Amino acid sequence: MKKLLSFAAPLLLLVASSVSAQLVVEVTSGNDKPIKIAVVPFDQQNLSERTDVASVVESDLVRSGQFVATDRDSMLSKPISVQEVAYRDWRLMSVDYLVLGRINEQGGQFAITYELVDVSAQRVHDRGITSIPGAELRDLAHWVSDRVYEKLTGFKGAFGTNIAFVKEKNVGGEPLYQLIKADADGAREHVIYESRAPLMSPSWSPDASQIAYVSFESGRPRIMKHDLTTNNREQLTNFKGLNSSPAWSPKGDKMAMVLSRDGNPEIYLLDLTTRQFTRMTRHYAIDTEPTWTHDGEYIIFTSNRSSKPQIYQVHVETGVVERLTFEGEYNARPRATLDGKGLVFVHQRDSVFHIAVQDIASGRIFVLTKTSLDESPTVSPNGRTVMYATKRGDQGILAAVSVDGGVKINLPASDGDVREPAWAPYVD
Amino acid sequence: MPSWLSYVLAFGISLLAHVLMAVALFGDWSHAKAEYREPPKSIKVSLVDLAENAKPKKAEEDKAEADRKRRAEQARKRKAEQQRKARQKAERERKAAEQRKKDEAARQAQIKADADAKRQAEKEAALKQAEAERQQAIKDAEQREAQRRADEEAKARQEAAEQSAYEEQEIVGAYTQYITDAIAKQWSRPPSARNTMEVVLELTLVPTGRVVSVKVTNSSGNAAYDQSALTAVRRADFSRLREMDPLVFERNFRILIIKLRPEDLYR
Repeated sequence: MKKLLSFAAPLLLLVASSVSAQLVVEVTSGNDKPIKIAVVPFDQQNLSERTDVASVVESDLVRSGQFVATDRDSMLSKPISVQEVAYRDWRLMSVDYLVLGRINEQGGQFAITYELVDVSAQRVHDRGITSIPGAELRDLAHWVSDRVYEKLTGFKGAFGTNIAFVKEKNVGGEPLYQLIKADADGAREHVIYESRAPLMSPSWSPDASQIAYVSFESGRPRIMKHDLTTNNREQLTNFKGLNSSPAWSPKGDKMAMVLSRDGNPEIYLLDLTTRQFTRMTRHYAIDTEPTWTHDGEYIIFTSNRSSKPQIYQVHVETGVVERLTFEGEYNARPRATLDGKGLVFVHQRDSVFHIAVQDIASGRIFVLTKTSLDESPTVSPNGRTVMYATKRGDQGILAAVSVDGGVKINLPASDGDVREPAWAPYVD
Repeated sequence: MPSWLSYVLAFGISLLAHVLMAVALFGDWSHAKAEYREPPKSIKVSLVDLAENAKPKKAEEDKAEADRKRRAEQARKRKAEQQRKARQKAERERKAAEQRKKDEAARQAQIKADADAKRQAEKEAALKQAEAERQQAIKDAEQREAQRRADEEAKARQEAAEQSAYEEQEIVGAYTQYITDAIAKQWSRPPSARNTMEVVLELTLVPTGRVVSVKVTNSSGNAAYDQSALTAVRRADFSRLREMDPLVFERNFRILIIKLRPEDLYR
């Protein structure tokens, strides 16, 4: 009888499907919530390093705004591989995905095996093994975070990238300025250069091997170029007046900057090979804070040529200038988004400075941050996160927000005033 | 009376009538042949008196007397013979007449019988015809009635079918909305989702609302987006489907095509 039924069932189906047209259900809206993830402590015993990899992965993912993490203490079990997963437990906790991992060490080199487990489908959604020569556990953790992020959001992760920023400390009653390189999550700070004179406006070369910045070490502003591998420093400009806001072109062959050598601040282009300067803007108003579009065709900048600061772009080939922002009385310090369709900048609304993103085509502005005195936005190389400087009490700190306005995260407080973050490009 | 018996009867009567008709049509001819007889041959009887001639002539008187007696006798005999012959003839004639009369009567009787038979046959045929017509009329009436009933039933069925199709459409519509909402509620789109994307899934359900399988039949080209759609369908609660008529379920919901387009996203 069972056999008969199993034979009849497809027939019935055939009849059913031939009788009525196939029903099509169209779903045109959703209920976007962060993905609920459980990063179970990794198996990482007897290693020469103590970093809790799972917790680094967890904070990476949570910081992106796309994930919420399950508290370790509420986990009913702590599997280290998919074979040990009791799906029912995780379903009860409405966990969408599990991140499991095992690390071992051979000859001072770590190797990690990771699994991303889909709880609703009850199977491994992604699995990976890697071993990066010279890598620390934190690098492996970022590698896992990047992989999970890409699998579930569709965007490349940027957890393994670096940031640079300026820190001002009070050492011996005198201010000390440091140019710092750190992980994107603010960890592993490394001082590139420090000075008793102010340092400003760090800018990464497209291959992330050099940083340009403004130094007042000689008493007036100069643009410096610093090689991160050799620590060689080179002075690029020494003009009277302003020498500020260096911005490396996407190809790395040119640098945009602001010089006031002709009387008032204008955007100039320095060819790094020929050392020739080209003036890009000609206007009696102030033109400043240049940045490049990702295709290298335009330089976007701030100008008060309409009496209030607004954002403009100049076509590098033709020098044609075009205004980009129209809403509000103050829009400044622009950065282009990765897809070239958006603009991130400081936007003043109700006399408060926010970080906002604007869709260039529609002109629509979306305010990302609700704090005041938010400044110096920088966009992650995957275009997903905006990092910016803000104040907590009197202290300058770094914070990050996703470009679509998800969770806002403050980076760990540092021992000083932190400002002017610059997100490094991907290192190939 | 069972209806089949009436058919048998009718058939029997019809057969009989046909036979009788055949007899009536060809009966005369075949009957005459059967009744044909050789006409009776008249038989001639002649008496020869041999003893008279052989008597001797010795006594003339005797002889004369004898002769006279003989002649008288002969005359008497002849007369008797003549009378006899006449009688015979009369008798023959009478007989012939009788025969003729009889033949005629037989013929008349035959004709009458034939006519009777024919009439009878005609009568029976007419009866049968009438019966057949009556039967046909009954049958026609029955057929018309059956047709009317069938039409009515068909109409009722059609109306019922239309009604139930309409009701089923409503049920399907309501549950489709339920399924749409159940998926939408669970659908968390990745940040890479754009309102121009579409993924098509094929979902196989059982009447309890449990998802047996779900697969991507037409990818959006964005793996994370496809994955979000799969997860939404797997996490969706379809348990109210068990309240549905199983036949309606079979006809509409066992295999579903789900199209997911994030039209609510601003880009």
